[in-house]
Amino acid sequence: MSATTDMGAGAIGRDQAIAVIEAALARGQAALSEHQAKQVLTAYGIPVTEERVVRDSSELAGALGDLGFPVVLKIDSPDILHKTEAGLVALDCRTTGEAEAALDRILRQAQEHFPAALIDGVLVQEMVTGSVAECIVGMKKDPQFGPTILFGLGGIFVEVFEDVALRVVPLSETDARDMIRETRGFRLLAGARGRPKADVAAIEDVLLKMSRLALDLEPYLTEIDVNPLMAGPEQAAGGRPAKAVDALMLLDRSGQEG
Amino acid sequence: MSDIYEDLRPIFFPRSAAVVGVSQDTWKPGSSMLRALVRFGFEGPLYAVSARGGTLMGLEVYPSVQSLPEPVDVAFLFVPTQSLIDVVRQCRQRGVRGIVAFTGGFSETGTPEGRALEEELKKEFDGSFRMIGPNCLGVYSPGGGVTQHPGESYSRRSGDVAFIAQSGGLSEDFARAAPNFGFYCSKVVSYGNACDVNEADLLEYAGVDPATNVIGMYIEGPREGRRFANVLRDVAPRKPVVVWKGGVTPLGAAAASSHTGSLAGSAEVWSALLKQVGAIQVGSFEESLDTLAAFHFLPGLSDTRIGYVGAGGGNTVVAGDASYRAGLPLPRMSAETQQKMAAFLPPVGSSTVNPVDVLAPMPSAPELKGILEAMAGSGEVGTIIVDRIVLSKGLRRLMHYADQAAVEDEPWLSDIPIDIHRSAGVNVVVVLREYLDPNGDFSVEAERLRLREYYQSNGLAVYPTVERAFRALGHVIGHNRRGGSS
Repeated sequence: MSATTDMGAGAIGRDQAIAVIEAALARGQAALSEHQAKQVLTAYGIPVTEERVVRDSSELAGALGDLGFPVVLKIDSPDILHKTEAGLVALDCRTTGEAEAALDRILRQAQEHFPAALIDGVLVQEMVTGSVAECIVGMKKDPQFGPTILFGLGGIFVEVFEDVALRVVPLSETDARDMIRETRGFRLLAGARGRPKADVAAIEDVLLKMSRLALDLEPYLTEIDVNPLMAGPEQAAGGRPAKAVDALMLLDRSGQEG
Repeated sequence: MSDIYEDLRPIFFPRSAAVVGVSQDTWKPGSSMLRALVRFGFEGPLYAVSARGGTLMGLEVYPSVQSLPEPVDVAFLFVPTQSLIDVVRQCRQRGVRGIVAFTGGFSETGTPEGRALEEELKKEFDGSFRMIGPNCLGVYSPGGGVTQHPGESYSRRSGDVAFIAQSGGLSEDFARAAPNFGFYCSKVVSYGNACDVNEADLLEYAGVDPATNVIGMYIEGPREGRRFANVLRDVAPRKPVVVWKGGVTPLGAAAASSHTGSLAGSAEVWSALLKQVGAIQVGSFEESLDTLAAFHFLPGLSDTRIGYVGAGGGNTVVAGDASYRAGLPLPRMSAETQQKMAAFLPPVGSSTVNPVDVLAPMPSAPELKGILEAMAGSGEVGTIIVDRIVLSKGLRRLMHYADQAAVEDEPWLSDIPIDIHRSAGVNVVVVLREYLDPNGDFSVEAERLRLREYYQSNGLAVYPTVERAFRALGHVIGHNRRGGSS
C-alpha cells in the first residue's frame, strides 16, 4: 500500500523535475542554475534551503519579508558554476541595506566578468545555522554500470583525503546506511570528541532519494553535486532535516544535438 | 529450468560433437582438441572436419560441416580468422546448436579490421544456436565429457565450483589447480570476446546450475555492465560469487585494453558494486582458490571464534596478527579450558591462551588429541586451525623429528583432526607448510601431498600458510554474517 503511494508521489515528482529540465534544455542550458537544481531536488523530497530569485530591489524587499534575516545572496545562473570563486556570493547579510548592496554588487560584477552568461537573477536564501557537519552527495555516471552515488564529509575529507563512499544505483537502505558509516569522517557525525551527533537517518533518506532521482533522470543528467548538504543535529537534540545548501546539475545534451 | 540452462546444454552436455579445422599435423590445435576429447572420454559421436578429408586418429574426416551425418550439439571451431564467419554460417545451416570458437583475430586485436569482422560475425546470430568465443580456450565440463583446449589431462571428477574467466590462460590454470585445493569443478569457461554468450549469461547459468554451489569469476570488463550488475544482484544472495577483478591499476587497465579490448572501468566503482550486491572481491589467483575452497568446505560458517593450535613462539605471534587482519581476533580461552589443555602441554615454553603454542611440532598423538578435544569441547570456538604440527608418523621420521621425540606406533595420529572435525561440533582447518626444497628429500613433499589429499578428501580445508587460512575464513564468515547466500 505504502509502496503504491510512494510510486504515485514519485511519478508526480519525476514529471515536475523533467519539466524543469526540459525548460532548461529548451533555453540551451548545459547545466541547471542552482535554483533549478533545487527545484529538481524538491521534486524528489530532498530538503533544500528556503529561497527566492529576485531581479531588483523591490523583489528583494518581498523576499526579505518572507525569509527574514540573516540571508545569503548568490548569483543565479546556469553559466556560472563556481559562484564563490567568482566572488558572486554574499554570506550572512543581516539588514536590508546589506542585502541591497550585495544585490547591486553581485549583479554588476556578474555582468562585468560574465557578459555572455545567462543570468536569472540573484538567489536570496536562508542562512543555514546550527548544522552539525557539512556533507557532499554526488552522482556520476559510470560507463559500465550507470549512475553511481557518492557520499563524503565536506571540506578536507573529500578534497584532501578522498574519503568518500560509492554505490551503484539503485541503493538499498543497507547501502545508504553502510556508505555513510564506511567513511572515516563518519566519526564526526557520530559525535567524536564531544561534538553533537548528527541526524544520520536524515542523510540516509537523502541518499535513497538521490538514488531514485538518478535512476529516473538518468537520460537527462550527467553529474550532480550537492555541496554542501548540511547535516542537522540528531532527533534527540531537537532534530533538523539535512538540507541542500548548494546544488549543481550538469545536463546530458546528447539527446538535444543532431 | 531457465532458458539459459537449456540454451547452453548442447555446449556443457553435448550428445554429439565435431571438431572443425583438424589437420594431419597432430600437434596443431584442431587435432590436439580432437585427441583431448577422445582421451578425456567424450562419450557421444565425435566427428572431425577438414576440407582435406581423409582419416585422423581412426576417424573419418568429413570435408565440411554440411557433410556431417547429423546436426551435432556442439562444434569446436579451429578455423582461420577469415573463414570463421563462413563456418559459423554452415553450422547454423546444418542445425548445430552450440559453437565454441577458439579462433582469434577479432575485436581483441584492437584494429578496425578485427572489430569489423566481429560485427560481421554477429550478423550470423539468429537465435538458433549459442556461441562461446571467439578467441577463447573453451569450456571444461567434466560431467558432460567436455574439456578445454588443451585440457586432456584435467580431472575427470566433477565438483561444485564453477569458474567463469575472461582469460583462457587463467581458466586453464584454475582447472588444473582446483584439485590441489581439495575441490573440483562443475564448469570452467573461458568466454573470450563474448560475442554471444557473455559474463552475465554465464553467471546466470551458474546461478541456476544445480551442480554449482560456489561461483568464481575472473573479469576485466563486462560486455553488458548493467545486466551483469543485475544478474549479480540476483545470484549473489543465493550462491557465493567470488570475483577477481583484473585491471584495477592503471597498468593493469592498459593491459586489459589490449588483452580483451575491455574498458577496465573504475576500480572504486567495481569494489562498491561487489560490496553492495554481496559478492566477495578477491585480488589474486591464490586468494580466489583459497576463498572458493573455504566456501566449498565450510559453506555456512559464520562463527567468528577461531582457536589456533600451533608450534613455536613466532608462529603464534604471526597467527595472532593474521587472525586480527582477517577480522577474526582470537578469543582468549577460559581458565577452565586452559587448565584442561595444560595437562597435555609441556610445563615451560608453551601457551594455553589462544593462540595455543604446543612448543614443538611433534606432540604425541594422545597429547594432540587431548589439546584439541579440550578446545573443541569448551564451546568457546567454532573452528580450530591446526598449524605446523607434523601430522603423520612418516613425516616425523622424514623430517627427523623422530630423533627428538620417541615416536610411538600411533597410526591414528593423522586421524585426530578428522575425528575432531566430525564429532565435536567444531570445524578443523589444517595448515600444511610447503618447504619445496629442490635439493631436499622429495619424499617429504610426497608425504605432505598425501596428507593434504587425505584431509581434503575427508572434508577438511587445507592451506599452505596460516595467513591464507585466516584470509579465506574471513571471507566466508564475513559473507555469512552479512546475510550470506542462503
